[in-house]
Amino acid sequence: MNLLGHQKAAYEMLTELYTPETVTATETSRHILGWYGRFDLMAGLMGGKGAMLDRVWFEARHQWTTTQLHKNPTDLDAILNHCVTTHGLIALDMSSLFAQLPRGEVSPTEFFQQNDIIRSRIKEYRAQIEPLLRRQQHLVIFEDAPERDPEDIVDPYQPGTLYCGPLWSLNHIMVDWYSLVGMHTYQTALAMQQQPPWEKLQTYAYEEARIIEAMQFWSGSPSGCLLSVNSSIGLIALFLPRDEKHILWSCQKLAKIESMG
Amino acid sequence: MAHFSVGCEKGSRECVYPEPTSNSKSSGSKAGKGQKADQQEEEQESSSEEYDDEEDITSPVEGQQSSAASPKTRQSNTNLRTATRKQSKHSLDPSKKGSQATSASNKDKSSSPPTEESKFSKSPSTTATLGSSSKLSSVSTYTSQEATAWAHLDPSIASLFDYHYHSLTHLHYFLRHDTPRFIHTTLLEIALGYEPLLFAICGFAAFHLTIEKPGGRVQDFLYYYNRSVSSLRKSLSNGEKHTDRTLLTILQLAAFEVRTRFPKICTRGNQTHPNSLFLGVGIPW
Repeated sequence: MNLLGHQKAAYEMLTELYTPETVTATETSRHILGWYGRFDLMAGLMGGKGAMLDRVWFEARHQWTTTQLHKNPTDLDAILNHCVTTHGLIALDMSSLFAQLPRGEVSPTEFFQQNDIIRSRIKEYRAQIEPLLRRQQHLVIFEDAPERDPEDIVDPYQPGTLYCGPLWSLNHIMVDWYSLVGMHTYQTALAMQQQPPWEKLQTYAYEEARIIEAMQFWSGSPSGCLLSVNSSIGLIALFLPRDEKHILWSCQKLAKIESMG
Repeated sequence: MAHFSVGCEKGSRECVYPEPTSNSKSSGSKAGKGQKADQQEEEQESSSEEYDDEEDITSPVEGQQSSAASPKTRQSNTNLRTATRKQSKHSLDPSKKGSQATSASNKDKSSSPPTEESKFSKSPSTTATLGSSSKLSSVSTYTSQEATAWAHLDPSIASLFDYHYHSLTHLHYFLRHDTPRFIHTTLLEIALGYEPLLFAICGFAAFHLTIEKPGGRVQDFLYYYNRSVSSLRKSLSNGEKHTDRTLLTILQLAAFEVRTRFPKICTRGNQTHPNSLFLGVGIPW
């Protein structure tokens, strides 16, 4: 079955059944939008033809999660969903902007103005996540876990690494945030024809690697979590030092995930 | 035969969806395809001929072929139709369960759950919070209501639904946060009343089961995948109105495609997909 065929068929059906104004009306339609939105982006990148869904649809879902957050400011699900849609919009805009520059669709001046705005949004988003990170009652404390490999590039058992229970999704949110800020930092340097700030990028990569490895080693991690972070390994590998130890780490993680099918 | 046209053309041939499964070579991307994917396509073509009879939904597992396939089929079809009526009484939504539910998300409406809960230990509270085999802390422990919802179906199908419910999470769908546990509740409820979606979920579950269990059979998930596609084609060509469940079926079938291709693209990185680094941004949703 053709991936692009799925993408087009689903897009046609979604836009036949809903508009951005009606798509958040029911639980099912919201999930359909969320599911298709993610699939559309992934299929667009994999197929090389880009996403089909206009930004307005992503905005609609973000508007819904924002409304829910205002109604239920202490509800963890509302907070986490809002984080996810916030990130989604920033990532979408960032990807679009970086694609526009080499195609000449945006002037350098305009690019840097827009890019600064994205930088601010990334920073504000991190500030939005901070209160969640302080909820120490949801932190995993490793006991009876496999002994740490002294050659490991990170310490997955470092206190404060992994969240559990209703805050599990925060782990993925953090992995994605580090990918987002890392990618933004890296691509901005390239756009300015400067050397990427490798030390800063490595900091992001190590943080991300630590969380991913903690997920891998914690027996309470939900099934499928490594699959879900697979796409971040490539970015981590790009930013980490290019020595044997670090390359081996990335290869081992990818091999582990590939063994999952 | 009417098809759901997506308005694209491949040379002089109109692109139609879903593509015919028999005697068709996949027109999907060849780039990055491993030997396993090619093997799957060959088996897809042969297995689609083997299961041409769309009325027979007998289990594909060896030794379970019923000698009374027709009566069982009629019973199974009846059970699918009545399942939705039963579903109205037995919601799969964990938040609506009774005292047996131990959903951590329900417990954490306040801001200060007990500190013991977070420790990785064998304490009863942690065990209860983590639930059973699903390992997703915020999913309720399995109760008899879920068993009732699909227990009357063909055992192969029921076991795949069990597996989907217990062992798969929204993370297998590359989703970032799943409330209120859609893939464990509403999705399965809808599927119980719509054959294309039911088979698509079975295929997805069977795929993961194939990987997890030694000696897992490729034919099993291909069987359900093909049944889903055939059933969907039949629905669409009969002029069935497009609804949420039709769209969910397409997404469920697509999930299988993404599940099998996406990890390989991430692994192989830049050479085949220059944009693959952007995949690392996560673009969560």
